[in-house]
Amino acid sequence: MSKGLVTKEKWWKWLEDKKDRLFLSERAQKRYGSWFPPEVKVVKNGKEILLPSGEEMYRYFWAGEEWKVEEGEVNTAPLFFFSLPCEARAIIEITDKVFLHEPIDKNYRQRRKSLSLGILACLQPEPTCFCSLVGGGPFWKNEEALFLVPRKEDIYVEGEGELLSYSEEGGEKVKQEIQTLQKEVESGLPSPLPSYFSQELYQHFEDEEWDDISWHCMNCGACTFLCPTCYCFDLSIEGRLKGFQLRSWDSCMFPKFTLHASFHNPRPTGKERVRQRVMHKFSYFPEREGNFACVGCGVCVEKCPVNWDIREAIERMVEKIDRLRA
Amino acid sequence: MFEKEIRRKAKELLEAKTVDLVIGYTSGSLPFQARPILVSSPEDVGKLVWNHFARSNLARYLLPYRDSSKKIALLAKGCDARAVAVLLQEEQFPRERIHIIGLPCPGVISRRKLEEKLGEIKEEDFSWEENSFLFQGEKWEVRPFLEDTCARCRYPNPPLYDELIGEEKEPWRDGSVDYLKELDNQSREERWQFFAAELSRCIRCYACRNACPLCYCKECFAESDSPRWVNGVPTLSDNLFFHLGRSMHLAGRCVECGACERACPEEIKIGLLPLKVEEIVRENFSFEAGLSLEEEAPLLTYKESDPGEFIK
Repeated sequence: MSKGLVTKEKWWKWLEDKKDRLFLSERAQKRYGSWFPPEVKVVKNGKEILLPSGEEMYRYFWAGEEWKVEEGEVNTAPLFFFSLPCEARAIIEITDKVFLHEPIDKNYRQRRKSLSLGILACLQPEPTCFCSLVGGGPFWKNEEALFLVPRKEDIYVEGEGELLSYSEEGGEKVKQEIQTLQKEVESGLPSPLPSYFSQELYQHFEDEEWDDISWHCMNCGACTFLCPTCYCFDLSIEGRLKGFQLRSWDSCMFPKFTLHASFHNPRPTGKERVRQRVMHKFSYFPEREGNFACVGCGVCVEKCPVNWDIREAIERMVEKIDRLRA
Repeated sequence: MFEKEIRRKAKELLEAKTVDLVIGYTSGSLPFQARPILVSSPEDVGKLVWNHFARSNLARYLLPYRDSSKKIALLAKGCDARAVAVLLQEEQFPRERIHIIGLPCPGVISRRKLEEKLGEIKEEDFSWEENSFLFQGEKWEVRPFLEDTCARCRYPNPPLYDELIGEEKEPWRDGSVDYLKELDNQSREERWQFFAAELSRCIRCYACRNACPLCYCKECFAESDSPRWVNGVPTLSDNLFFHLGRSMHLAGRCVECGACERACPEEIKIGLLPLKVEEIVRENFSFEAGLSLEEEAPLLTYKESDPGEFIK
């Protein structure tokens, strides 16, 4: 992995032949919009590229004697996605683990293969942010992605590939400056959740706290649809003798998400659904994959129409667990 | 802003067991937020707050208690009380189970508008009154900072209540803002452009529907499998179908509270559709929902003497 400084001029030169293949997250655009050309496609998060809200998995028709099936087409042109660390982490540590582990999702894999990630350091964590609580950080990086810190006149870059050949050695001074900046941004951020949290949380599945925690949630899908890690989907057949199988986003907040054909619903009220959302992100997923299925971007907190705040649910359960351990 | 009186009243009702539960607002985890809260013990009434950020229509929080026997006190702005009136008229609750603590509403303030005009804002820089506020010592009128849904409000005062805390207010609506007129004056093409742009941003999270106190169908048509009207993909045509369907289903029932629009995470002007439908109902039937328990709801009433041939 190399490090270096890319001047503004060279940055724009590097972008020149990529203009029509550039994606930028909404939140990164707010901070770094001026570093990207007007052609850049602004998306809410990586889900919009990798897991579109609607996708034809295959088309079919009845050809008189037999069914004909054609698989859906997936765009494989190389694309670049620039986002904040939390949003990149959602892809690398969460959705990749879901769709690239067996059984592999072919469509996701094809899109993912052609997607290069750029991580833009987060220099202004917002009041709704909590990445450090869930194992991330404003300077979180990953070897597969470019890591960038835009400065006044240049960009500090870490990683591999073509962009690095445009860079110049920054020397010790730049290294110091970046380290100082990182320290400054990270100071005062909450420390990570205790390692026993995911395992112990499940022991509190039946606790009465969930009634109170879930009470004011309206069970809309704003949090799950806007979350960069929520990946649950529905499959439906659209058409009879001719049609397609549709994959569309679904949300554990909706009653129909778990409605059985018998009309029994194992998650009949908001309480079970809210608990599921918390448990999946903070217990089931980490127990299976080793990290939380929440990157602490805070979008759900910011966008919730009734200020349902997942941090409060977590804090309350951490407190309870620690009280019982003491 | 009458917070003390509200807490005192809530405590009194709970202690006397006049009610089992009080539904009101409390401070949120973010500044400039008041979120719904359920208070069931007199010791907790101190959590209740009343301010310019009471965005939700609390009548919506009654719905999960339809099949219980709980007696519930509800803090009700003009629009919340109107929604309760419709719920009562539609026989969702017996009158004696709901105790309405009426609150003349000072209007909900938009955090976005505060930030647009005042820049970076902190809660401690403000001191609030009903009609004005001090920001860093400087006095501002509330009016320009109101949510659109509240600037157009006709009924800040609850038309129905068991008791009223505070003094009745004049509506903010002064003719300077008439969103419907603006739309009515546009050509069909312009209106289509407007709604197409707004509704193509909809992610169909159903926050609007779930925030609505009168959207209480057990199964929403948008989620029905047979017949299947829309699928889960938020395309413009399905979004339009959902929002038009919802607006029509609310015809003559919508109390124009705008909770749908305030709930929208994408800030889509979604309240305009039901607003237009209610204007048509007003013009044709001289009726506004939720203003009295006695007046018949024209679209929910069947009469053999109906002058409309098509309905007989």
